[in-house]
Amino acid sequence: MQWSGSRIARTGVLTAVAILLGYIETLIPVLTAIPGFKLGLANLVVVYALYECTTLDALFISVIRVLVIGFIFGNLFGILFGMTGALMSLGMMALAKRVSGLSQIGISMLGGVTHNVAQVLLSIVVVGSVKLVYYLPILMVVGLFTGFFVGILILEIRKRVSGRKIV
Amino acid sequence: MNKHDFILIAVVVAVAALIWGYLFFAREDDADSMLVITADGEMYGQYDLSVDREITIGDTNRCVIKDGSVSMKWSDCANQVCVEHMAISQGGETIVCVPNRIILSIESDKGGDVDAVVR
Repeated sequence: MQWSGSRIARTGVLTAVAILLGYIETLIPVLTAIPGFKLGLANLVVVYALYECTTLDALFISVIRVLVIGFIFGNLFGILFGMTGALMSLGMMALAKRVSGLSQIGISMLGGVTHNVAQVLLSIVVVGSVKLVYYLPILMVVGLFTGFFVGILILEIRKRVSGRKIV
Repeated sequence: MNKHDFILIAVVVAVAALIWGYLFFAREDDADSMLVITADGEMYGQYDLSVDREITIGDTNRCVIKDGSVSMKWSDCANQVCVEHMAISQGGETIVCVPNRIILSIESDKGGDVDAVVR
């Protein structure tokens, strides 16, 4: 599939939306009882692109989103974590979409869980202590919940925009 | 939502429960638990939970022991996850500052591999 003008425009718009959602997420106070808790609003756009565009488009959106959000609001450290979570969850979702019978909501939940598991595993490597496994169970369940809500939103959004020319 | 989705939920919850169950039952007796601080993967110090005090860890973090629970009071890191973390007091609980590679954990006093106890 080649990079037509409309594909470039659509990917650009979706990337902008992902960055915007990432910004909105920084404004929402997080649950401090669970370290690393995030709503994963930006994941909304990535899962949408996975269904409405191509896996490659979703990859572009994801990588650019993490870099831009990281440079504006975070630091290199945040980019390392964001990128690990984003790439692992996107990889897992793209694979599962092809080989499993999961619905959109299931795919989104798998993405949420993978994102969190990948970040916990990375923090175990960075800190050099398996003690951080302590956070794995709660973050796995949290990933299910956030993935579920993202999945529901995508279902509703796609009902309304699918098939229509949005760009 | 279809059958596969529910299988996914069941598997994730089961794995999470297994890990949680393992950590819960592997947890040592709460009595005589200590605060163990690890920095850069190495033991920084062990502290008695019954003595209220403030501990400065390197130039980057400061934690405080008060009424048997521990919280991170200050950190120079960007995300401040460790500072916002609720206080910990039970065995097995941890507060981690990932950017500065510092771990505060509550552990049983029985570990024999530690030479020095700071009081």
